[in-house]
Amino acid sequence: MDVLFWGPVVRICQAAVASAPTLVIGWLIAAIFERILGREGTFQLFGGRTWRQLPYAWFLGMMLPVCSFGVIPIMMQMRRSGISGGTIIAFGLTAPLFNPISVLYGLTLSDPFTLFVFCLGSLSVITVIGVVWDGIFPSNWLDPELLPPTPYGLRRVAAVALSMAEQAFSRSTLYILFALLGVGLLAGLLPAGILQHSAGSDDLTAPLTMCGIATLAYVTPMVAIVQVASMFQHGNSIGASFTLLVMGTGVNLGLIMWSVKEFGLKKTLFWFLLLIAVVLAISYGVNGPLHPKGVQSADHTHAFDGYCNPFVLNASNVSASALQTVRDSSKLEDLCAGIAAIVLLVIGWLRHRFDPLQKMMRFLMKRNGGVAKVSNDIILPNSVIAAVTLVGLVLASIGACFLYYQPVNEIKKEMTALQADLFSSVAGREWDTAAFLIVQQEDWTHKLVVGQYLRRQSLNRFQKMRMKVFLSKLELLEHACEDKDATEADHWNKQVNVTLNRFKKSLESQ
Amino acid sequence: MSKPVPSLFLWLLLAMLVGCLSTPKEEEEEVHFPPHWPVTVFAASERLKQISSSDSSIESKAISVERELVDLVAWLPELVADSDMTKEEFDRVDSWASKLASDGETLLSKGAKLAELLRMDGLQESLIELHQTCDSYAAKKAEDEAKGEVK
Repeated sequence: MDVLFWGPVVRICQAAVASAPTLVIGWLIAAIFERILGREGTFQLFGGRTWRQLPYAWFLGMMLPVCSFGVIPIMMQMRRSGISGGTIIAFGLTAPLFNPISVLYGLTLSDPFTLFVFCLGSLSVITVIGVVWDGIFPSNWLDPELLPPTPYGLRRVAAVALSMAEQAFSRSTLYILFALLGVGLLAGLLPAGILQHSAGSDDLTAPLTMCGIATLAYVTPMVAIVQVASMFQHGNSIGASFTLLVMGTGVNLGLIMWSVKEFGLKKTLFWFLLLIAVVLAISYGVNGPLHPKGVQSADHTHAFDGYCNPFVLNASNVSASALQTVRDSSKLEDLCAGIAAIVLLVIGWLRHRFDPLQKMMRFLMKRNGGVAKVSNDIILPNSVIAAVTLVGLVLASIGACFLYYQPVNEIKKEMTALQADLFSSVAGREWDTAAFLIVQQEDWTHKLVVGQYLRRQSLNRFQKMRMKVFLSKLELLEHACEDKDATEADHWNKQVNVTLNRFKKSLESQ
Repeated sequence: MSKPVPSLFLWLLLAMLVGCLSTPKEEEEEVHFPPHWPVTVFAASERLKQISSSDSSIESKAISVERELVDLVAWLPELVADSDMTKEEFDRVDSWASKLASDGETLLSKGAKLAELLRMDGLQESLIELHQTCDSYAAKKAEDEAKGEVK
């Protein structure tokens, strides 16, 4: 029983922590839409009522670094700005799929042509849904809410900050909680490792299975692209990986519930079923043609272990392991963003509790005519501020890539230190520690590739092949650790050591 | 009176919980290593030597000896990368192995027999070069080990 309680709890906590950075960004963008761009500006940003709505929604969605949780408050602001339902849904489904960091990462892990096809596939999906939905349900927009223009200066900054807190403590957070419940439900229904054989390249039901699972799952854009690339490297079903990308990254229970509340059950069911039909049609269409040549197809994958219960049925001391599992999977940057999210939530609650008449926001929105006369500052229009902020967000995420993906020499040092720990933990039969370190080592390897790519020093074929050998030995060590097979683990432990040294040596000869 | 829906749900849950959750080890090994996978590039070189100097009657752990030949050639770059051979040696093997593996696949799809596969352009010369490289590495390794023992 412990497993059925703690397993979902772990997955919910992991999803909550992983979503924190993109959720805070979502609140920031929603606040910018509300207090800087205003209703008219937001409406114009998405192409008004012209044919440009859907391409703009797709492009902005591709550029803004949000996830399927962070997109909900933005969609709510779009709705209040009078944007059509089809465009909002198109944006909501595309924004979480890709962002500059994940596209860059994806380019280094899978065939660029495949990534291009996936981007094009996502554009087709949202175009079909947007056009058909708007066509069948015309005039599905609200009249734009009237908002007073935000004054310039520090008040504008404070109004955006307060608006972020209001976004945090709003109905959108309730939908996000529903989405988290979906993640827990999935972990409760799926026992550990049950999806390891659900994405084989010959398995015709793989995209269908993935469709059922991915709707409830929460996947960050970065995790999605890593999983898709991993499926390519292992020769898994390409159709299933496309389904995972669109349904897992784009859809969640909260989004569906928001849509039911805003548009009603019938309209929601229509776009949802249409989405499934288009995604499955594309998935089955690309399954054969995009299957990577020369890859030994594996009939199992660990890519979806994260959606299942983390504990096997007979696991002992589950409550202690639960805490450790969440702690191990939490990155420092996610925790910092998590603290920021909690602070915003508390401020939002305080505002709601002690300032129900919005006196503070009204004070911030009050125009102060005297400032312009005494100051020599240039007063920037809201549209410029909004453009700078949104473009800045995109540029900041690109700049962050260089910090996140360090130069190869730094990563080599990290990998060497990690390898020493891994070797000792396997020798000391500390299976859980070893399993954790193996995942870290894989992550560093991927970061190394991206780091090289960013600095225009992509790996040559010899280096790629040595990396492939190293990763395959690492995977075999992972299996041995899972089985707690000491003899096998010792064998692969040595092999991992040797192949890592060879890989590092090959990097020196560049 | 029992409620049918919750019972059904519980049965479903139970079926999922008691279902086969882990992969048998042998099956997993098989996924990573097909039965005819050679442990090292040296083993691959030896096996290729045997196949190239025999007829179709030679036993194989693969579906057919023709399949084994093409697979072994295709796997050579990975096997070389899993050895101490240099980048230059890798590049040499990689340049012909990829092409020959692709040609071999085409011939296999047309139902070619071993003799026909062995007549592929450049195969025999490339295999001889591979044997020589492997032999010199094996000799060097033996020499190093002998030195180590003396020390």
